[in-house]
Amino acid sequence: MKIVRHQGKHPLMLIFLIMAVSVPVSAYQWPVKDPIVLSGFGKEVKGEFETGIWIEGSDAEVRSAAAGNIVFYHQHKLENTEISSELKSFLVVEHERGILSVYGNLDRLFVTGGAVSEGEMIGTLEQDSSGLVSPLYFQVLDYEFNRYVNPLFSLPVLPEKNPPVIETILLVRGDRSLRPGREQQLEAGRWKIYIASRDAHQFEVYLNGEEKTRIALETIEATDNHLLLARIGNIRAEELFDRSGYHHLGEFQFSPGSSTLEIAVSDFTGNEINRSILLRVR
Amino acid sequence: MKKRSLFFFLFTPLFIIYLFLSSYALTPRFAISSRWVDKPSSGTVSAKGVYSVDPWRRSLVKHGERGETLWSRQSGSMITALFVSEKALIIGTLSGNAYIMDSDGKTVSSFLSGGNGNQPVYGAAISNDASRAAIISGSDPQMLILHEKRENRWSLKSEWALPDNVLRETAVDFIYPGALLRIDRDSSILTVDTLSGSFSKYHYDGVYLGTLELPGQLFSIMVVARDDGLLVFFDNKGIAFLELDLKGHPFWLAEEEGEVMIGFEDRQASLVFSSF
Repeated sequence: MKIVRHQGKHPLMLIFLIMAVSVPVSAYQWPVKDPIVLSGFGKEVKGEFETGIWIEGSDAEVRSAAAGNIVFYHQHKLENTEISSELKSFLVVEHERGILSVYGNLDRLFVTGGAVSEGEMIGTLEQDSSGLVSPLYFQVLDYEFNRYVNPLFSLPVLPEKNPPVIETILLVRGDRSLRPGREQQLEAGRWKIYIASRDAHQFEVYLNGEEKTRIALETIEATDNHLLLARIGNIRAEELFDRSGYHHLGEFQFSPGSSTLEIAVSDFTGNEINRSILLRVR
Repeated sequence: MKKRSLFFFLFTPLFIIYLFLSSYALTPRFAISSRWVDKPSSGTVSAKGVYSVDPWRRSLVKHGERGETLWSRQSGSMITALFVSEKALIIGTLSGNAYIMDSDGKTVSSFLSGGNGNQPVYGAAISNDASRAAIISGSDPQMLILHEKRENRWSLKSEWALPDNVLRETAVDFIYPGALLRIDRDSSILTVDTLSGSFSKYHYDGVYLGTLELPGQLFSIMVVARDDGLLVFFDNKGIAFLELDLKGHPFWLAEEEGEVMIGFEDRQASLVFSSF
């Protein structure tokens, strides 16, 4: 997902008001300048959910997304630790209402304790000799409910010009695997639906106009044994990603006759794409 | 200097140094950008046993002799502290929980530190006989909390407010005969007498790696990795008796079957102390 930061100012109050009511109010500021989201929340990482996002900025400075207090830090290669860290050096800031934000993959830390204000520079990212800057890992955790929250909920919305892409839809039953076009003949029974897509934040499945499931990459609950994508009947990563490269949207009963299967995929900014399939069920 | 030399020639054991092992392949974690070099390995195996915490600090893994996974335990929160002793291990988390586990990964006790607000666990230790556990948690003031096991039940024994805040992972060690705790405090070591509650402070330059008690030795060994790359060994009176240059930045210190194990990013060093 490549999101380009919106920098324009709207002179018309009317436009501003329309935006104010249509866009979620952001509590945080982007921690890097000119942010580009490289990898999204809820993606598969070695069979587990990604619980943060990777953001590329136009310079190496990292600023606190909101006011808070430093509650934990780690300085990569400068500390005695038996705990390895994918986050390299990182900082954890506690904000109001028990929300923690984690800033990882840092090169240098500018603060190791005390209060930080919104927008205060708290560290820098690694920058190579050609000026290329490493991405920031940013995570938001609601520790009261022990849930990772998609940071894009709290950050100012960046317009996404390109809609998500549906690459492949698979209907799977036992050893049978169908790649349907606009119309598909198949036997009655329970079929699993898989989808390969890009830039997806939410998946919806409709059968004859009735919503059958909705999977949104919004919050991930951390239990003692698993990370669970929060939805109706929480889902584990090994269930959602049980077929490499695909999201498993669920198993559905198709009865004899004609049915319309519709799959809608949307990105975080609301861009949506649909695929409608006429099922002729024998 | 004379004092150190005298100590060295009279009492210093013979040091046989083995450098061995192994390169943990640095495999890329993500293939998002070719600029992502220097990705850490998939986990650091401690010489204290064969335990590792995954790079995202969410699970603790016990490995077999060939590196295979024997068991894995997921933590509901980021693991911020880990200590492995002979009979048990303890982990602490960002959300303020501490879990004592046996060598099979079964949680035998758990504590929630702090009251209101988030009170991360910054350091944890468990004694070799698995009868006492120390936890460092919270801030302003940061607390040292001592739990003790009596008649198979863990209970809070004492709490002390520490004189300063260190908001990173902090080394804690029980020292022979177990009544003392040694705590890393950013370029100083705090020794806490858990019987009297008295504190003493010792300053050093570098990174405190830990304190070990070796079988057959009359003193504990404290190791500091100095900024100039030297490893400095101190006895329990704070006297430096050995300086070694093993090249590279060490991350951890452990004792295994009487040997001092020092872990670097890509290798481990083993030191055998033999008395004359």
